[in-house]
Amino acid sequence: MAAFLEDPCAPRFGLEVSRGAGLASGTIYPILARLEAAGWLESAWEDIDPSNAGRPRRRHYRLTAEGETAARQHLQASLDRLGRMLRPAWNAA
Amino acid sequence: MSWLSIVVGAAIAQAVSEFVGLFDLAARWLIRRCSRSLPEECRGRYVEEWAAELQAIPGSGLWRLLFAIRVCLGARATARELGTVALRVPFRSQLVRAGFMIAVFLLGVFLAPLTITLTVLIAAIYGRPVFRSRVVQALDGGTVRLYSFNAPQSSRVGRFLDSTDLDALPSLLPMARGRIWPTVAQLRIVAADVWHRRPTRPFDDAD
Repeated sequence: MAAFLEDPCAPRFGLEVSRGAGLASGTIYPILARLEAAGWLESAWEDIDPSNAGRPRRRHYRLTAEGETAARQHLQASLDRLGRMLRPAWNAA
Repeated sequence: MSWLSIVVGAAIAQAVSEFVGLFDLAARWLIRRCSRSLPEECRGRYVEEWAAELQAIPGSGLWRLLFAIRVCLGARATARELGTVALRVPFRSQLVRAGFMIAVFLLGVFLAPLTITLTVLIAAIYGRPVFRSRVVQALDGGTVRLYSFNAPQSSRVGRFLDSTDLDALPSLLPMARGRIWPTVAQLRIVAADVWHRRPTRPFDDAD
């Protein structure tokens, strides 16, 4: 989700998401499908004319408002957890 | 000598580029094939999406093939997320099935001259249509049209084809593609979902 949060408004292709998240394309599409079903993501066809562009249209994914809020909360929560884990080490140093 | 080396070099370059072209072909085929596990209403969407992503991958066909393989590995999980119950076929069954598909493919190649000869023969003797067809249920839940040779039952050729089951030769193609599964002893194809051990559905005779 962090890959999406870098620029919440920008639409991304599945391939970009898989690179951004460092996950294989085999695992990224099930995740995208799940997030879409949960209403966190929306997807739409790219708005191009395939014959003009000389390539087929791609499908892009974008965070919904709900998805953005949820993603920020989750990211914050995991940062907090990381902070708590590191604090003893920080204090000891 | 240098002339020869140029020719050989060009031939090798051509062979390599053909081979790399095969990667792309295989990648597209893989994507279409693994999309069959997805629910029907979104199958087309994912095939289009993956095909477009495939084209966006730069470099040699090997990378695109790799992408296709990875997508295929995850296709079952995608199907699960999209709400279809993925059929769990045991690994050994998959192995048997793959072996069977390869064997049928080789058999088809081996018998191709016979198929072509029969086609020409029937067209010459009885005229068109050379094939009759029926629609049967495929293992993946879709339907497949099976062709068989169309010679009158009363004729000698017809009786011969019937007794040897050679009339079902054109059915080898969907079998090699793993879309249907034959009965044990015969070349004759069952519409039944033998693979998934579901009850038989009668043929829709479209003769």
